[in-house]
Amino acid sequence: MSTAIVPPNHGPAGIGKRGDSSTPVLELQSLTKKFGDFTAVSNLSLQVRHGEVVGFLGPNGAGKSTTVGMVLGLIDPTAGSVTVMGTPLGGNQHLVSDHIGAIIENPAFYPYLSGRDNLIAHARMVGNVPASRIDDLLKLVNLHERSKDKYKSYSLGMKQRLGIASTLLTDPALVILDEPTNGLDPAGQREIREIIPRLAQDGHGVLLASHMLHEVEQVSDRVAIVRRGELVTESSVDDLLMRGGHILVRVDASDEVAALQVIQRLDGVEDVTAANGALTVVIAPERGRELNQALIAADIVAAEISPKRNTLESLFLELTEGTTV
Amino acid sequence: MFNLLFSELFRLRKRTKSWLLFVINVMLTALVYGGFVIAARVSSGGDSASMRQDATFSSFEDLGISVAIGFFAAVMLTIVASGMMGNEYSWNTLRPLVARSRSRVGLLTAKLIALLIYALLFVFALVAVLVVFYFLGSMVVGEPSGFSMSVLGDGIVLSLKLLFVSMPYLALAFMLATVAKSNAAGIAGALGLSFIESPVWMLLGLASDFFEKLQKWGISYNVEQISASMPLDDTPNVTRSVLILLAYIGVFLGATYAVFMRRDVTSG
Repeated sequence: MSTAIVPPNHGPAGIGKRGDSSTPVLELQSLTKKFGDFTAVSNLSLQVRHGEVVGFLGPNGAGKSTTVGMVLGLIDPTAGSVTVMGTPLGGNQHLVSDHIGAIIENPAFYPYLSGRDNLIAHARMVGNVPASRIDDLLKLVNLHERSKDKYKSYSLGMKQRLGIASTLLTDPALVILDEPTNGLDPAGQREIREIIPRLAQDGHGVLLASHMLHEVEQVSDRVAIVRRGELVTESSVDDLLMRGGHILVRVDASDEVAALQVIQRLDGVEDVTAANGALTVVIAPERGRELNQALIAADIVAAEISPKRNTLESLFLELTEGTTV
Repeated sequence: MFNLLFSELFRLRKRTKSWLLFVINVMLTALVYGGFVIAARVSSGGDSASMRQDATFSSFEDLGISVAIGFFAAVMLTIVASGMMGNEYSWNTLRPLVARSRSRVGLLTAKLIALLIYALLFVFALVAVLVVFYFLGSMVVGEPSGFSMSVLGDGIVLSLKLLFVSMPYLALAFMLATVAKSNAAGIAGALGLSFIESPVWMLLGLASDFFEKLQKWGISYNVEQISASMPLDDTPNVTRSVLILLAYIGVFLGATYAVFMRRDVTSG
């Protein structure tokens, strides 16, 4: 699993033919898709830059797959635009084949071909893919020993890994992974989770649509959450997890009122509630040290100060109003 | 588009079905011709001399080419034509295929060119197999084979003519598979029409002269006009039939492009 993802002809940053690293690899502007009266995607704007993993979350039917379909030129937007590497996609389908590699929902390959022949077939579709690239990718996804077996004999995990190898054939600027660990056992999930950050390290922009919230939390730099076709939030993972975070403070019962007054005087405190012998302070969780200093200055010794970050799961459920993923 | 074409040809070459249909075609032809040869070999009645003669290259066009290519190959190639698009839907490979293609026009065109190349190779290989059959058949019945380059040349011309008259059905299969997103729809629609069109026209013709005139614009009538003509016949009737069949091919393929270019690929 130590094979380089970027071919040797690319620069040290792995950008190479992927162009100017300051240009977003993907930019969606006010993207909208209507099927009859039903609006699948509404006014969606989003950017993916080189070297970052953007988690794309939403409940079933939120419009994720429709959005991916429009990015890949499979579905015509009703309004708005998709820009790939700084060039509008409309009518320029070659931008997709040149710059994007994608697994759409489930990996789909020709069942009568071997894994290797499937990659050869895909490589011939786009041209200019050296045979050595196929070998490298098969090693990358740990399929080189089964590469001559028919695709139809592969396990789901092997199919997913072949899908990832296929997305990387052209060394694309943008990799779109839609549920890449769907149906995999824990070991398979971990393998995929290890590959995703490496793609970003090599300069690829990654759009990761997934139902596995902990997975998105682990590998994403930013997260976009959609609900009923609309973007409800987009932020870095750290900022998002701080949102709604709090600090739990335990002090002696005799100090509780004094501690409450001290804490309320601190800047940035949104709320303080006392319950079950503890104070719940709604404040950025990283400000625990500052809070402790204020208590010490008031001669109050805290028995416990615990920063509590939000989880992506609770935030997701809150933002999507509890809709199941 | 050439990249897509190379990929299509690669997949056709690697697919067992591509070879299997050819083998089935050869076996069915062997059954028909073999039965004929065996009957000629064992017959002792008044027709036996004539039957033995028919086992030689004298029946190369009428029996061999007509059965192997005009009937069996037309069915096999219809199955392949339908599968070119229908299987992409059933295997869910259409979406990655479209995403990999530089244009949808290029994608469809590459598939059609690949189909044409496959059909030509299929037909030429069948002609070669038939030549072998006829040499063997002549030996079995104990007659001179009667082979000549002229017979072979006429056989090849007839094969290409029969391939041409099967093109409207291949185009129809391709269109139906694309529009219905189904391999079965393409096969059933095209083969169904090829079998029932002629009898339906005949029945309608009994009812009214109008239908008798109208059938001259149908596929089957014009297929028969071309098939029944001499290999290099260029009479006005045949030319007209060629143009009508070309028009059908154009309409079917035009509809395929029109539907596929505008379609949101949300499945397959």
